[in-house]
Amino acid sequence: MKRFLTLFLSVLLIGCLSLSVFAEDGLTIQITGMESDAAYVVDNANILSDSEEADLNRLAAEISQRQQCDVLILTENSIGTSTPDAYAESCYEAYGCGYGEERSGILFLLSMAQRDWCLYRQGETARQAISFNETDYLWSKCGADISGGNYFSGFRTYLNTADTMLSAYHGTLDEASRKAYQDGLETFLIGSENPSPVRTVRERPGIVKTTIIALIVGFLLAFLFSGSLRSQLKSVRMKYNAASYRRPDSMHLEVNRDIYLYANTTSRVIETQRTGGNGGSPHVTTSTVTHDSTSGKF
Amino acid sequence: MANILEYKCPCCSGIIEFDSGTQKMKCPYCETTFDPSALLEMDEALNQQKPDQLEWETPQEQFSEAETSGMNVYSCKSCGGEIIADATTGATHCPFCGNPVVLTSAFSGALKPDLIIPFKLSKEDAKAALKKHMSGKKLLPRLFSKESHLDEVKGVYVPFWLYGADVDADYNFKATQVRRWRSGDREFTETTYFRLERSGGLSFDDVPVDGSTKMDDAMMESIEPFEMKDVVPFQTAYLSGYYADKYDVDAKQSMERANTRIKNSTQEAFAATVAGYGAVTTESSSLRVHNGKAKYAMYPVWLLTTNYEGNTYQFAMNGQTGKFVGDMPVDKKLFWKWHLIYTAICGGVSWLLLYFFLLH
Repeated sequence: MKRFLTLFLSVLLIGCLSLSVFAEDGLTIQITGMESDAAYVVDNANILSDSEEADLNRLAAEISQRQQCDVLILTENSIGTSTPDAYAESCYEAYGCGYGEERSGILFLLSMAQRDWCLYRQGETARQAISFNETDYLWSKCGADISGGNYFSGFRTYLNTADTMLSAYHGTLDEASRKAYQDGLETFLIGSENPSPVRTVRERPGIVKTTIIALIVGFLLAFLFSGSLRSQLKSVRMKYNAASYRRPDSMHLEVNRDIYLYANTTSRVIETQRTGGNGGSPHVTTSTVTHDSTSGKF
Repeated sequence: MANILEYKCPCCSGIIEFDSGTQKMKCPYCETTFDPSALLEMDEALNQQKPDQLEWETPQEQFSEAETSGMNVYSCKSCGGEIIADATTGATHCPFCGNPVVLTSAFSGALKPDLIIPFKLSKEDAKAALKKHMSGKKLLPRLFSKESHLDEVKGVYVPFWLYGADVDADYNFKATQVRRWRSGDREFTETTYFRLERSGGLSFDDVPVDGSTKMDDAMMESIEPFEMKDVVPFQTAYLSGYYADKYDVDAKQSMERANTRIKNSTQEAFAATVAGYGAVTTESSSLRVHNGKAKYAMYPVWLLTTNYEGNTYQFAMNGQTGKFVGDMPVDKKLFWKWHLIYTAICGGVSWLLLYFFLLH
């Protein structure tokens, strides 16, 4: 198992205060300013006090070791032109995070300049315990604090909720906690048809933009209907064929042969990644390999 | 002067006409009705009549040869008025007394049609059909139906050539079948190519082609089909009371249009025998026509002419089935008004979809 701790110790050993990693999409990740050896939480954006970061580190380390699944936090001032999903994946891969062969773990990325958040999960344990529904639920629990600038509170809620989810997955929750968690999740999923005001206001596109697009689409679609009305006034057309004058049952076939000629087979790599990266709406990328991610604006 | 034919009532000597309602000849004066077949003998007897020998001194200034080449002059047997008609006119009305006359020379000898479908629908039916044709058209100028003046409604027997033939055809198609499957992280696509051979035949009966240059070909094809169940051997008696033209496009000239339609239908029929393939293209084809025969027929058509803002609009109704056609003007203001209404509706629906679903 590799940890952030290992990474940062290595960095310290080589005497560097910064580390650049070239990701697969050409992204350069710069992680600076390690002030703690408990590297489950990396606050490059400096939005946490030292004591807050240390508290969160201790909690994240305890949960990760107990659940055999890394629960990580990374904050950045900016992720450049990269998408949150790609950036989170690059960091996770570059630093070899995760437990076991499947390298199970969950990374919560916050980018302050772009106001992006991303929950990246790798490995079956993390992906099964925190699926897309649970990710939305997780964000609903901690999103309000993070959006409101209460980062410490928001991150702690994130860690505790992730802990509950992993425990529920492992079946180690007591009956009362399990029931409370299930009820909360079900209530959230039922209520998700009426999203919270924060989510509604922030994640939907602007009214002006939507109206302009809708008017253009409507104007073009209207030609189908107005064109149909126009065609009602034209009824004189040449006939294409003589089908009305074909003698009934006169058709007969003397040769009816289908001959195989040849076959071509081509193949391509399946591209299953889909990204709904618009404005403030959360989007999901899915890979057939071992990881998922959910992101959005805060 | 050429011969003309009038059917006179044996009872009152009034000019009798064909009545589409009773499918009999009817005297509009004493309302006596006669069976058209009973008049066949009378028709033949009238054909035996010798033409009038009327000699007139003509003025010094005469029509040039070019002017008279497409013109015939007749004398009305009722009032003696001079009827000038073009060379293709077969039946008309006397411009002086209004009596219907049949110009028998247009249908004598080799020019005699083989078949005729008598009118089944009346002038009133045609007017009612025009009214119905105009109703419910949202982009029709409001004043078109109100102010457009119905200049003329006339029943015309239009000359048609009817083509029937047996067709032998060979078609070769190229077709593909596509199969896709996944293995690991790859998707495989197998495209299999086939050559399809089809040979056989089919038959066509009475494919009509308009034989008159006066008639708009598209309009005449638009009122098809005519049903052969009502066809009867040609008798000039059926023409009385209507207008009629003889053909001025002969069977050989009209054949090209019949061939085009027959070829298209044959192509569709053979393509329909191909099933179970993704994409099918025709590689080669060969058609051979056997036992081709052309018949000369007169079909009933009601022609209606209106004018609106200085433009003439013509409509046609199948005198047998009632199928009505005719292009009408578009009110541009109404077009954009309705376009904006539809834009508002479509835009509203699009806005809801975009805001709540697609861009969410």
